[in-house]
Amino acid sequence: MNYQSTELQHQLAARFVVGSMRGLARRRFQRLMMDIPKLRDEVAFWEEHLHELTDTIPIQQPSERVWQRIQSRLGWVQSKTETTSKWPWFFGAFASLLLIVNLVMLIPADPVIAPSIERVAVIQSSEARTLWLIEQREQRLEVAAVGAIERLPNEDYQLWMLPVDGTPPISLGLLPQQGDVILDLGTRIDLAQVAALAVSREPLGGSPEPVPTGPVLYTTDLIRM
Amino acid sequence: MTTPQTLERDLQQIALGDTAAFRRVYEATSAKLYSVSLTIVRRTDWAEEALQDTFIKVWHRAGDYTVAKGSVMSWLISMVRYRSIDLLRNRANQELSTDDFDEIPATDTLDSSLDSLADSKQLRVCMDELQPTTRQAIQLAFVYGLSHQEVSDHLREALGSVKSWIRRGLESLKRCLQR
Repeated sequence: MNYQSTELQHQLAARFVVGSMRGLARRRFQRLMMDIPKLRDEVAFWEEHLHELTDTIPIQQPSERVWQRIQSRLGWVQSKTETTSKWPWFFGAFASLLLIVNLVMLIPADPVIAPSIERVAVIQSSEARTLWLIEQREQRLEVAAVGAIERLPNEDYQLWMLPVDGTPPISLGLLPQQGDVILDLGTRIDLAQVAALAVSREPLGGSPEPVPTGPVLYTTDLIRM
Repeated sequence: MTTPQTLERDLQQIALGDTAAFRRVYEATSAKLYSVSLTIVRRTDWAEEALQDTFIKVWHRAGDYTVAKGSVMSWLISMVRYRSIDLLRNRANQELSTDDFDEIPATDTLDSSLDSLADSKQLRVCMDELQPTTRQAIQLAFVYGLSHQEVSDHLREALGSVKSWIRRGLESLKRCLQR
């Protein structure tokens, strides 16, 4: 597809902003936006104009607990009412590192306020530079790209679990080259059976096979908290 | 009083770690952002989650904002909308059921909702130039987060027609907005 075509750029940007672009196409477009400034301009155009449509929505006040939870998540207060299941998104290196440090410090002292991270993984380059941070809560992996990850404009990084029983790797999803994603594992993956995680380089959209087809670039342990 | 300029200044302060500025931006924008999210996800707990996620992102990424990305409000609405759409699709993982359509306005309500836009706004003028069904399809997709299929079900029109209306409607809208 020729993404330099002005007409195509207009159409894709409009579909992205309106929300009719979904799933993998949406993620691909977000990646294209990083590489093509005109796409970013188009998206900004539509956002600025179409957002006026939200003026038609009746305004409702959020509960005060939202502000409390934001403060709690930022580590500014320790919420007594915070339950252990509402930490769904990961935003960057600082937040992630802070979170992990907090966990290590807080779990023995006060399990009530500890978030329900069950496992963590840090994927590092051969020079020991952190590239991705991964947290597992229930059947979700919250992945943040935090380091200088080599950009692959026409390929994807794919995350795999290596089962303890030595059976072939199982795909856990595509890793972001920038920003963060949540990988929903559904019920098909039992993370208790993970011997290690691996990252391979694959064609755009992921390996066409059920196993890695590209080189395995990194491996790491999934550490139980 | 909050103005686009004060929001911009506060965002710059947030990038420097100013928690008071963060609170001001929350106070000024949270109700609007919550309402935008609630209209899409239609569940208070998910809308609250999207709002939390958005403000955590604001705290960590305020420095990413530039005027080239549009107004601060536009930037914030984008974040909460995209997060809400992601939440909706990841969690629900299904199209809306017939029952859900009770919460989506009927076509005449959609049309009258545009009355709340100021007549002077260019968008209002350009939306008025579209065919009613095209206008409604765009509103359902953008404001209510409906997929093409859901818009088709809600309007009881063929999926292909809906796709075509939205595509051509956006083209017309763009030409009008650039006049």
